[in-house]
Amino acid sequence: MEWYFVLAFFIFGLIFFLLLGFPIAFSFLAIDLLGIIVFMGTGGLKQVTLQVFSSLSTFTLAPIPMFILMGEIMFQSELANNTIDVIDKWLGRLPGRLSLLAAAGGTIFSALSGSSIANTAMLGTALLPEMKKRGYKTSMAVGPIIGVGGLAMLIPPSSLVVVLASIAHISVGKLLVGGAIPGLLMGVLYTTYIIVRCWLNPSLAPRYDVSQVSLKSKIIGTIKYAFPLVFIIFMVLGLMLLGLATPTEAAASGVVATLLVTLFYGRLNWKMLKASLTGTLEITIMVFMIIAASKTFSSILAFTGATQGLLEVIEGLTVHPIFILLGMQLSVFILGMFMETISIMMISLPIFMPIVHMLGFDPIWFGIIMLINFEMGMTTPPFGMMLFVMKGVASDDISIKDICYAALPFIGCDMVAMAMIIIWPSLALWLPSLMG
Amino acid sequence: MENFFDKLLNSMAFIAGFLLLFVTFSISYSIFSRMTGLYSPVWIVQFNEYALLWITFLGTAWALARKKHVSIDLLTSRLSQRNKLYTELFHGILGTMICLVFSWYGYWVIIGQFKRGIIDVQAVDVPKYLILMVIPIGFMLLVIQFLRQFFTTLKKITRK
Repeated sequence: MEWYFVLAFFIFGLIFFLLLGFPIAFSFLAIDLLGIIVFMGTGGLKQVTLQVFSSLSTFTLAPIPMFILMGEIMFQSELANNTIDVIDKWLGRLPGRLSLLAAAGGTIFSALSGSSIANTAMLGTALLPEMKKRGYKTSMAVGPIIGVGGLAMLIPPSSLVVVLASIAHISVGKLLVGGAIPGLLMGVLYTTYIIVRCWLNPSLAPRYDVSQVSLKSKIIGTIKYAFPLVFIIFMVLGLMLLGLATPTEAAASGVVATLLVTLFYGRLNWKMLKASLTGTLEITIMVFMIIAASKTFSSILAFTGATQGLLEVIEGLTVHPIFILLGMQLSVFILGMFMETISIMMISLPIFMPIVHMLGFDPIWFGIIMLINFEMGMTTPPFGMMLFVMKGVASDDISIKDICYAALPFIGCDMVAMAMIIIWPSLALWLPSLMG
Repeated sequence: MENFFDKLLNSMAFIAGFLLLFVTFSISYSIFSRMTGLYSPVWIVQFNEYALLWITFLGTAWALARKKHVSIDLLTSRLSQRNKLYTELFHGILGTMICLVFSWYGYWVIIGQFKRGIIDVQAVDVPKYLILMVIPIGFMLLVIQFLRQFFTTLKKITRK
């Protein structure tokens, strides 16, 4: 059978099961089963058990549950809310101060938690009521929260980065560290957009009088609530950058640091811990099942010659490699409108990574570009996850259509960041290069 | 019977939660011991790797029962209530069949490994069947859970 029929069989078969609403992990298993029976015979079925073992019993996956646990503890213990108060005290009568508060708070939480959904939900719950009270327009209230919420995926600790790195067979540590500068860059782009927009059109975010806070109270608040968070960030990112810990070890020390901080605030209790562990297990098991099933998927793709066939076609193309890169990103962007992040990774990476190596692209650079694209995918209508999360926490008078329009300028900022990283790869590669 | 299975799933999840804590604290201990020059057990990495597999397969049916395996409801959310139930019925049959096949073949892999005495040679030698056996067990629990979902949905359809 020609390779393109095989490839079409897998892609369309998978999309068929996914569209039926069958859970993603089991959709992969279904297409694995069909693929093995059609192309390999039943002998291949025994291989699945061994493949599941080799794909999950991998030390590099260990940061995933621990990064999720960190975020869950942070979320369940409501540590984040105090930080918002501290940043709030420091911002004076700036134009769009609550939007800026969302941007700054969201960027900081991204360095503490790996979940874009938790980040968006938390910022939305904490800031939207106040924004509404102050007469902020939806575009300036909802937009910045959706934009900055997604940064959690890019700025370490991020469990999705570990998933991407392990599927794409690239260094987990380097990809994690590599996300930091692009993430901050996006934070800066959002902030610039908010300031310029509110300066040109002050009615979007009406200024209001802020009660004077003494310098002493600002400093005490910072020491009390911001410094412990710096400690957590150091225990993850710092240890990794200094070469003192591997990503897995950094994740474990991050959990311990988070537990110590909650203990310090007197919020460590059995109920909080149980809720955090339950939440972590649910997400981890779901992600790991997809990883287990998709490993077999990429092996069958390679076995049937579909991967090789596609590579030969691309090798024969006479266009500049950058157009192939843009083509790959465009397809991920389109998939992102309809599908959930991990399944896009699982479908696209086994096909893309051999192309990346063949064309000589830096895999870390490529990984970062993909992550920005995934972040946009979570924000693009009609089925961006963040839009629904936002709708869930926003009041009823804000429609999903308003939320989509509010998110658009921030998707624009993401595109600018992506273009900058394509043009200047060192933005993504400088920090990982320090790791040797 | 219903109750027993729920309790079984919950206790499996409890063990998975315990393994999650083991992963976190054993790795933290290994950094601490390296920095302070204390003795660090050689088996930490190896058993952590096993733990990741066990966490997944001990808890997968529990996660299914709690509807935590994500799916894409792009089309299904637009269906009528009755058609939604028919899709769920189909999910039940499909899930049962897939997991039954993988559980069956997994079981034969374990028997084979046991008979041939295959060892996972790492820091500590462990018979491989002991590590792998959680896979067919996990798939079997999934079979039962998918069947339960099938019959619950069937009941809902016939009642209407």
